[in-house]
Amino acid sequence: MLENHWEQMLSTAAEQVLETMFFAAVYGPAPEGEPADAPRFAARLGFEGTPSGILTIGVSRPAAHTLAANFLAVDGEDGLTDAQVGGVVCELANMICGALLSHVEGEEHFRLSSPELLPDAAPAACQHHQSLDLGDGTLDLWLAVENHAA
Amino acid sequence: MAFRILIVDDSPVMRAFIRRIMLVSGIEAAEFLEASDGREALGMLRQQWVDVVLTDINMPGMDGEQFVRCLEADDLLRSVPVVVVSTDATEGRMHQMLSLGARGYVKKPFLPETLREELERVLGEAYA
Amino acid sequence: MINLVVGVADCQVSNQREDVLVTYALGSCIAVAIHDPVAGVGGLLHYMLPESAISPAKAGENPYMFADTGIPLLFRRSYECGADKRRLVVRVAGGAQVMDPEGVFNIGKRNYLALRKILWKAGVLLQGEDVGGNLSRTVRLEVGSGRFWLRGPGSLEKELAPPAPKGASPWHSGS
Repeated sequence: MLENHWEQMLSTAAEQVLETMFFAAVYGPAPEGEPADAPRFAARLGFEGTPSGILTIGVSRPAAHTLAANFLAVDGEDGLTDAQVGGVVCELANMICGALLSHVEGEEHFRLSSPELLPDAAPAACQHHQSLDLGDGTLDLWLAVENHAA
Repeated sequence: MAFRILIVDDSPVMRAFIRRIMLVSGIEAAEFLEASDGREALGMLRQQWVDVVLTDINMPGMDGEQFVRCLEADDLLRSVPVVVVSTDATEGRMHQMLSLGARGYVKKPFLPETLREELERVLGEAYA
Repeated sequence: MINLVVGVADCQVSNQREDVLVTYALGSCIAVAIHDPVAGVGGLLHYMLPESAISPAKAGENPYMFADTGIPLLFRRSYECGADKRRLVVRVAGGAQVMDPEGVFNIGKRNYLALRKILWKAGVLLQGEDVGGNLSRTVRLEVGSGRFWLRGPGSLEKELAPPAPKGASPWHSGS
């Protein structure tokens, strides 16, 4: 698998999921300089197959609230709990991972772990990263692939 | 006719999303049951009849594949129509679940209308 | 047959059987067609932009310019004519990238996503859609029959999602 193939697949998968079930547009790569410590929701899940790996996502708090309100069909002023927003971010990670793996060649059945919320995103070391502008925030995607060929 | 629908998914927000699609699709007086994995779903099915089951595949505990196998092995439960709703979009998985007894398959992500149409097709065939 | 033309950033609602609502040259704009087959009410909205927050003043002057102000108003006007939300057949067309082929601004797609979000939150599902691509569309809605037709430049007119026969859906118990 070429290096830049994973990056493009991450963007494509994220855009497909965001547009279809969250009715959210991706405005392109996120602008440089997004603070690493900006408050956000983060989730991680692993996948087993050929290949295996871990996907981590981080969503800026305002953007996460927007996505959750869209998904759960509530208006902004109704208010959502952090638990609800976190649940939606986990499901977003789950679907992006599934959409990503559906484009991997071969008929392998991938096994996905249950996504878990994290106190912070930004894995220490990661082979592939994409940062997408959602308008009112950023979606970061980090992908670590095992047995990664250079 | 009031439908009783069992939604099986380990994500509460996905269960809520699916439930909303059913409600806005025009089902009147529909009753919703929810389970977070196949084992919990089987327990519910052994206590009450449902008109259709919507199930994910990747779940902790009993996954969707094992769940559908158990339904198919049961003389009574094998007649309950099952629609799979899963992130696994591979043709191989879809054919596998359909051959195990599922009547329909919707790949995540999906438009609400897609799930509505698949359910209408499956229920139309099951209860025509 | 009486043609009622819906212009850009415009809307018409009718309960007259002989009326046909028509709108032309949908590029990145979107047409929302609604029809209640029992009440015999039809409505057609042609909006340009997704969100009124970019210009509340303009939205105040003409709510039909934006999805988030135009769509709710379309539905409200249809209710005032006797339409029932649960019976409404909703179809949409447009959202093309005709002047922005590289997709830089993506107005057509953003218009479509705004529509999707608004309808989802309002608890409304679509019965048909013809969106995207690069070509402009012209559409018309027959108020009497509920039939919805669309045409691209130089192409033949085609019908979008004919209304389902009564009783075909397993959901409805004869309503």
